[in-house]
Amino acid sequence: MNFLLEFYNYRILAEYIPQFYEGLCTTLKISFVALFGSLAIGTVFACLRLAPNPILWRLAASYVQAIRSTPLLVQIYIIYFALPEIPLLDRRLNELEGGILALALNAGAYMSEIIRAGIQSVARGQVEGAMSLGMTYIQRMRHVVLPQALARVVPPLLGQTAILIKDSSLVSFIGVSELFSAGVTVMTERLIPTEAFVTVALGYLVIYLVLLWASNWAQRRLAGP
Amino acid sequence: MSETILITAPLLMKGLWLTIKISMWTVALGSFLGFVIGLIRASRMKILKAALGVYIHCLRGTPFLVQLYLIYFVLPATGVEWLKFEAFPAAVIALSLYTSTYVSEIVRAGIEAVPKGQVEAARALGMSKWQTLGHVILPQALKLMIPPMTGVYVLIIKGTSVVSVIGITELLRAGEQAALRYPSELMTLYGLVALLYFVYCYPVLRLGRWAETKFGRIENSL
Amino acid sequence: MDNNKNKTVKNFIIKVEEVSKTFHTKGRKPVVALKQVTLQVEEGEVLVIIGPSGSGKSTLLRTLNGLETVDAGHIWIDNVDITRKETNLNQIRQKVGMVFQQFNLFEHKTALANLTLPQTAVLKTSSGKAEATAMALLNKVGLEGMERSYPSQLSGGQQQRVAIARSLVMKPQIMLFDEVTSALDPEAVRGILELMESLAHQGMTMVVVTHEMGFARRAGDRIIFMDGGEILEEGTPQIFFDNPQHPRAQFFLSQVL
Repeated sequence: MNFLLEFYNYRILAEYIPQFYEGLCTTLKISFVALFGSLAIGTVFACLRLAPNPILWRLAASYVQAIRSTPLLVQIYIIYFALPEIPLLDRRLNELEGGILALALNAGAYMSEIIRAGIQSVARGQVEGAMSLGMTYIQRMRHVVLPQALARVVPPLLGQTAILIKDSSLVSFIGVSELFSAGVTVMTERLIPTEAFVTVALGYLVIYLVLLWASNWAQRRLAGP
Repeated sequence: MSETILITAPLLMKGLWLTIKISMWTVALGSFLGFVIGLIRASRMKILKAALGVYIHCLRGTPFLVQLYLIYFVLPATGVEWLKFEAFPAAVIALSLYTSTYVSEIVRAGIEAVPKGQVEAARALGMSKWQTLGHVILPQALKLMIPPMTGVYVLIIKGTSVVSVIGITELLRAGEQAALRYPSELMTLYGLVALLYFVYCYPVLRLGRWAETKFGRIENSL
Repeated sequence: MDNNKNKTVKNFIIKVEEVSKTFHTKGRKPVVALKQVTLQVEEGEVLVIIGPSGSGKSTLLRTLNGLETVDAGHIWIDNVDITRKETNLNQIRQKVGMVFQQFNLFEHKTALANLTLPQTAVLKTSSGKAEATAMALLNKVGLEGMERSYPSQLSGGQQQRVAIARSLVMKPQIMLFDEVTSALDPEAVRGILELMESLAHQGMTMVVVTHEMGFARRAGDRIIFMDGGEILEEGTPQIFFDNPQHPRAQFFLSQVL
């Protein structure tokens, strides 16, 4: 027991359970909101990217390239520190809003690529089959293209969600108290880096394993016959 | 505005140079490590394969930021002398370990994408395992690996921005220092930092797209 | 044909007038697929289009339900000009069934659902009624007991039967067949051709692009030979197969027969 205490002092750690718990909740909350934002952004940009109008698809392609070619941390700094007052809010974004917005904009670019690939992976013949039966654009999308695209898109979207949750650790840099900053608090207050960060790592690992399991389950479930 | 840019340019350029240095070291070390792991993952060494699977999941399952802290703060706390890293090697090692998980999966997918008939034909001609690997599998697999590999290199470049937290004055931290001096020019300075990252990453992304049209693509689980 | 002597005006369900189409691909030479093609099809007629690959026969077929747009000319289906922008192509396509070489069954749906979906979605049939129609048709094409199978669980011949049945649920006036036996095993080909022949006997108007010369001779009312985007020869199966006039038709027949 003493050996374990030396390496991993769970007694000190027990005092910080509320901080870790709150941090974990904040991490999940941020990620959850950013996930929905990124799915909305991703769907819109995937559709724009597939639009016949060259202005629209170039716009969408530039957005994706700009996001992919710059670090998330820089994007977070620009949105939190450099963005001026938002007209409708009459103030600047607070750290939570800025962090969520940056995460959503960032993940949205990657989501849009996944969704676009999913839509494009549905064979041309499937669309022609639907057209030959007199289905309208909306009917073709709803009954034929999207159900097939969704089955292919869910596993990579879950993978991207795992990345989003890990990336959310970066919003601690602008002062959001989430799981990672709970670890920083423990390290600075009690000078026990091992306990602090091994615990944080385990927290993220558990979230990741749950998503991995969900992805595998979805893959089996949606693979069809 | 242009004055600020001129004054802070040397600082930012120094930061960019450090970013390039860290990323180049990582590209070399991470690719090598990932390549070895990928070869093992594609082989039939069961126990080693499983162990490396755990390694990959552990690194994929935690944020890079946490890994960096574990290596820079936690490993020295173990008291083992050779685990006490300076900031720069700590950054390169953390980034390389993180990179190796991506590279290894690409290497494995590339090898597995080579049709089985190729191996059978080589073995039927009397080639040894290693000859088959060197003369038949790898030449075909390497081409398939190039496009996704460029994606990993972009990931590395972007990842270097995170090592600013352990006190390395790379591009982003240089930008922060400049911003401290000219708080009224935040947008310009961070915009400039973003632009420099873009200029570094974008050609690599384009190279990847070009390679993809030339060599084709493999399904990978990135 | 001399219209002055023959006063009965024929009811052409398909009329194609001077239709042209060129494909433009970036970085490649433009390909002329159709050169001022004109033809008519009567109600209940079985028209078979043959010709070498790249002759434009599939393109011509695909213009008939608007899957391919045309550069010039007009196409009337049941007296509606489908080349006009205002025409609702989806309404036309309900009347014109199409069967494809690669079946194009909806991969995520069972055989039964492939037949019910177009009824419930397009025709707004109630699902109970749609299912009854679907079951009856699946039985008719010889797929009893297969209704719960997914396309990937069926053989090529079975998939093509489902595809034919799926077109038939819309109760089309015209059926288009685009090389429907080209992707099938030899054993499966016969069954599909028999199914098509029985459709022809029931009076269905059919336009068939095929390489099956036996079928063309047995089931066709009229043969069209195309090459280079043009109709080079036209006639009854007997006249065409026994005594082709155009040198390219003669050459083609010498290769395939």
